[in-house]
Amino acid sequence: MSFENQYQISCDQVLPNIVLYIDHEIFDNTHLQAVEIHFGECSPCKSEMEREHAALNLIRNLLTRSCLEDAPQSLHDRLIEQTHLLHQQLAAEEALINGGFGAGGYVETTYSETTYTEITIDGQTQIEITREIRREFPLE
Amino acid sequence: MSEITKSADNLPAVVDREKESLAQRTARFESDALVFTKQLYSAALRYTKNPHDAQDLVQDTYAKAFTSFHQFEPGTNLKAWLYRILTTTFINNYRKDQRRPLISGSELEDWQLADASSHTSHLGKSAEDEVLENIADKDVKDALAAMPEEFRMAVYLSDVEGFSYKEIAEIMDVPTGTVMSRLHRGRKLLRESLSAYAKERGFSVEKKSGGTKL
Repeated sequence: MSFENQYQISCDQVLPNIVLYIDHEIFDNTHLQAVEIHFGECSPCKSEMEREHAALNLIRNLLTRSCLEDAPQSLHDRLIEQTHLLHQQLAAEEALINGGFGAGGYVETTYSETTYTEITIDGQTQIEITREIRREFPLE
Repeated sequence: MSEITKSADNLPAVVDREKESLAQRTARFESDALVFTKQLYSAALRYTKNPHDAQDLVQDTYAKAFTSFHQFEPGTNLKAWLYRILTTTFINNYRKDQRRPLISGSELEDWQLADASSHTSHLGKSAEDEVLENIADKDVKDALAAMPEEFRMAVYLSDVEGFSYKEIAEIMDVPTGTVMSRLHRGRKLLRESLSAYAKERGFSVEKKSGGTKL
């Protein structure tokens, strides 16, 4: 019987969570089950939830209908052009780093680079990557 | 800020960024990132409230996204990543009044208070809902534009784009509790002002159903 009791919650506990329920933001399974069981047993709460849900769907439909607009073709063109320009700039930088083809000698430089990645929400995991990078720069 | 949440519907792409050439990365950017132009532009219109700034904002966003695309981890949520750049760029460079104080304090507590202290008795679709369905697109946009920026963004990101509270928190760089508060109050404000628009426009239920009562 204690198993059943843990799923028993009152209207006062359910009503403030209706929005979370509709937004699929209740992640605790026990809590979610308790809310669903309550809807099954309490028709006023269930109606309240359905009414909220319908009202929210209405707002969502209105917003989506009104707000999604096609971008002008000129913007698409600008973006493609911009991407090509930025690509060329990066390519030029890469070419410079990898060394010119014309000049004679190169200076070899070695340095190490440390990157930290994967800092999770609870701060548990940290991975540190250190790598050696060797690059050749053309002589002036 | 923490990394953008992994999206369940985005299958992890098999991309080895160490070996990827610049040309390959550019191609991946064009095929994966530029497809969100329409969505980013729509959001930018709601942020900036004018088409000229909206186009510039989208262009700036994509410039930043391209130059840091090597930092984006393939297989994670690209759309949320782009929205975060869009939102940050807007806040830093486009907001009309940069010094306007942000809403804070009182907004945090009341999201849960709702109007949910007791049962209400409506069943099914209310007359008000029917009236709202007929409201013009322009009125919806105006109502949204009139809302405080933080509320407008939260409502847009949730109810048009379908981002989760956590994703919105990362996009707007605020705690999840703040997102809940803004979303709740934003929806309430929007609903109230849409009802007011509807009344102003004279979409009364009586008229619609052909009744003559005043």
